[in-house]
Amino acid sequence: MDRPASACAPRWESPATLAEAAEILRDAAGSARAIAGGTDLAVRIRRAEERPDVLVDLGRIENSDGVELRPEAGAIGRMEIGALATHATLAEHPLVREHANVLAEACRTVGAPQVRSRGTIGGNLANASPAADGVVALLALDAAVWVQSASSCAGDAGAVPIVDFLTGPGESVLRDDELIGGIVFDRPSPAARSVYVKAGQRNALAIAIASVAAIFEPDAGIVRIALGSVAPTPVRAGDAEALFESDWRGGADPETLFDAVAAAAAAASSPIDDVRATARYRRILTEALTRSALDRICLRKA
Amino acid sequence: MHDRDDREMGAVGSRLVRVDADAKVTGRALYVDDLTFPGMLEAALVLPGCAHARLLKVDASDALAMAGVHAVVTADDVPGENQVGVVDRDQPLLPSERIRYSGDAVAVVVAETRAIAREAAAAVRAETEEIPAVFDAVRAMEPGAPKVHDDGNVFLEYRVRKGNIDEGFEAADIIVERTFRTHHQEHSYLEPLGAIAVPEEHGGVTIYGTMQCPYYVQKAVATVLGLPLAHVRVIQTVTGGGFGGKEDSPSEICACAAVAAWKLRRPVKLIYTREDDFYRSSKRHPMTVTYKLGATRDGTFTAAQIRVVADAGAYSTLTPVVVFRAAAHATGPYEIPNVHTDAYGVYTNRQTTGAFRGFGQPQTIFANESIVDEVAEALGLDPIDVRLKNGLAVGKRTATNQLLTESVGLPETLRQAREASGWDAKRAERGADSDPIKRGIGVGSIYYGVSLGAKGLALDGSGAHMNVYRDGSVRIAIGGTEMGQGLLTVLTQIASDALGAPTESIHVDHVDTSVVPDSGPSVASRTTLMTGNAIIDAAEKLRATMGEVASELLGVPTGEITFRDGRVGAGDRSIAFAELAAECWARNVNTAADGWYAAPLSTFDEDGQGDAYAIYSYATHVAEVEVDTRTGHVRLVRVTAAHDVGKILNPTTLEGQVEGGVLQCAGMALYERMITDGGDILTPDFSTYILPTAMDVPEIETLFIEEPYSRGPFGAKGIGETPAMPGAVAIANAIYHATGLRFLELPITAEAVRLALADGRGR
Repeated sequence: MDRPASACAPRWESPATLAEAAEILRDAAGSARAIAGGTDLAVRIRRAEERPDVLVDLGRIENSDGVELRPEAGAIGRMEIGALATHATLAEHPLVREHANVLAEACRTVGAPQVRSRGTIGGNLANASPAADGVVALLALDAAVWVQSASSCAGDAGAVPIVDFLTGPGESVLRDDELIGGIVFDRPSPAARSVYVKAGQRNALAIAIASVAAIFEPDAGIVRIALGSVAPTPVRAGDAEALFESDWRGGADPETLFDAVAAAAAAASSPIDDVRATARYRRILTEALTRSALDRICLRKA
Repeated sequence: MHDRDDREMGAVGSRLVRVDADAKVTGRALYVDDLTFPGMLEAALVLPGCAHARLLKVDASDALAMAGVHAVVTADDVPGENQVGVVDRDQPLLPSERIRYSGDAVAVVVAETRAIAREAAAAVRAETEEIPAVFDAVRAMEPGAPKVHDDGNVFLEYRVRKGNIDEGFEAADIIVERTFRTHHQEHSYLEPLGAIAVPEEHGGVTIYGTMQCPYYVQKAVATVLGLPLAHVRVIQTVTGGGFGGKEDSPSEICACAAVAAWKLRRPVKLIYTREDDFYRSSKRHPMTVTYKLGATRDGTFTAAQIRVVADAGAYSTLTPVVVFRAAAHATGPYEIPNVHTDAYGVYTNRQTTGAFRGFGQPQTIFANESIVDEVAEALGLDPIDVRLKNGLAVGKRTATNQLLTESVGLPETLRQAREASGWDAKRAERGADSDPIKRGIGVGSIYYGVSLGAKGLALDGSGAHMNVYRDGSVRIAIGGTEMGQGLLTVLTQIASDALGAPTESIHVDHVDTSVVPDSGPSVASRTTLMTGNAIIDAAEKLRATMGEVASELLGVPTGEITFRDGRVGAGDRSIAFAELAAECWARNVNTAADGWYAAPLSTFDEDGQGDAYAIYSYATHVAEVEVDTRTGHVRLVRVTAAHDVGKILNPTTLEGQVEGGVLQCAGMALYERMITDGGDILTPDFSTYILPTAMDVPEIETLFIEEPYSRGPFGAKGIGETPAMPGAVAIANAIYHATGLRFLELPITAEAVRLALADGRGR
């Protein structure tokens, strides 16, 4: 052994553009990592789980942390969020709170103020934890991710839906030489109501044991339900959504319907036992949280 | 509520702002990792991580080949005795033949920087051969269990025998018996363990470190280096929390740094990571407590039979003292005529367990205070009424048959907590069955023998050195440690009133073992009492010598001279304290004095009978919870904490002590779980080991009862530990009241609540 690896600090690069950052990643051929807030990566480096030679700091890149609502022909509008927008920004941003409240609520439950001020939504995605609060909300919003590489920029048109982007715990389709540029999704209808409910082991600095992001669109009579921390990636509860859509318009008794939808959501989960909770408890929670989310967004009950 | 006119009453009892507050909030306070010395190297430990193994070889060749590595220190390099046992001599500093738990370190790697030292430590290869391990104390007691030490796993047994247990149960109308379990709890002080050892030119060594017990460290370092005590000087640096976790463990880290520094003849710093701390520092003992209580129909307790099995981990460390305290107090704060207690200390291949705020009592309290509630319910009686009926009071006798003669505030803590919490109305309240949120209120009461008691008498004296300078300023050296609890502040107040000198003229230093004689450990809620009395002793000596000078100057008889509020004299003839100091110096009168206080005799015979502790503190907590039956989440809404403290010295620091204790109780009751898999700790950091945060803090109301202790400084008793004791079971009892779920194990996580409900338990 000729050098004590952790004793040598990684080289620090601060590119001015995403394209430049992607070029550094490409040239480093797998030995570089992009760092935004560092709230996950710094922990892994300290634990010696990662030992990058180069850290590519994305903090100097301009215009990459914004939130925009773009009117689009024929559509009700498309939201675009820069990858470097922090949880703190999204939790308080007026456009997010008005049009995608579920995302604001999810970001508000991340870590503690320090973590929310550093951590970014792009990092949350790239880290690909099944418990990532922001990602569960984005999945409910049917968001897609656009990617920048040294050779190309996908942009909105080439954006990858989150369901396809995430492939497993800590795994995504993102390559070593690619960066997340931004996230896009169609704005839910103006009448939509959305909520993020989460069960952690305490009231702050809590990684979800189970979480539910839900959006109700009264005009269309549909709900969208995404589940966190109960499968290898955040997952949509498709059967539960279908059940709701078929019965809500028919004037089903909400109590009965919500119980059935919640049970269907729990059935969509495939949780594991870990240090935070057992699979059995996670299923029970998924049902309880879904039920509570439906009460809140469909009936406005606390 | 406890504020009053400072001018009128002196410093004791005032809300003097903490004397160390400014340095700590501005970052000027220097913790051990802030210090550096010329030529200093950094160290890291090699932990093979085996739970139980023979150590065949330590191969350091790769590590030694790395640039910047100076040495890999092993058992062979220990110049004195390779031994750091605090009570029993069963713990090698660096094992050379056998590894008994995953925290055992086999080598200290010393390098130019901490990063290099850690990298090199990872490159040291320990060749080991695993042997069968045992991870459960009850199982470790069985014949045929793997032996952690060759003499067997049960190394300690205490018994308490009072009255006749058979007759006692015979007389009972109802008997309730249950077995309770508690698990490891980590102290979670913010500042991890750390030490610097500096070889001195005279041949000795100076140790700087974060610690509660500098005199333990002095002995440990002298032992491993083979030096006389006079050549080992220990200086306590500003200490970021202790809670008992810096009683025994600092001896190990300081001795490791000392051996490395000795070999290399250079200063060596060793700072633990949080993970090191989880693996190597002592925890709260997991205990299995079987409790059987008999009572007559009117709620009078007739007999208690108790069996306590304490998991000591791989080495005994402080277990002999912890289990003594658990045995002596196991009945809870009640007069019970017939008592039969057996308490065992048992080795396992798990983390060592030692002192943690409450010192063996919170575990038995969980058992006895749960059972008391069950007996009350079975008899249709109110839990507070039953506690008042059986509770200790002046004239009553403890389980060790000690007659209580003064300062027993238990009944008053119960009455005030009942009143302030609105107990009677809330206890009777029953929410609608359809409401998924269930509300409950529960109580827990405790008593705590202050200081070391019968099993620590040899250590139970404390000193102080008080030096009055010619300008009237005062510097005081002490043998007790400030670890964040506010000691320096209350001692400043005690010294101020004892000497009649203004608080702003007084400075109290952290411990330096070369200045004040061995004052025992800063544990067992003893330091304000012991060091406070030592300061009063020193001040009395100075008042005598300085009073003679004042008498001459003022023409007033010495008997009439008083020292008050910065003035010395009688009636309208007085002189400023500072002027008197100058006069003393002008006459070559010595204005420095040593003070000493020794605890009164205490006893504990083979049958656990005797005056086990000189004095007891008492407390009652009432907890209110809301349990969400859909998720199992328990919200701790409010805690009313009533404490008999003897005398309030500083209401602000006292409230801080109690509020922190309430949170530690909440942690033990609801959150904290150290999950292990064999020797591996799966929760070795604060993202996985769940502590309550600021967002989990309930509303806390503190109530203080002043039943003065005749030997206490200004009547004060110890307050350090009692706040961390009654709360956990009060929460458990409140959860029972809310849901009908009686938990026999802590913590009661949301998952435990929800799954119990799913299994059809509860109401």
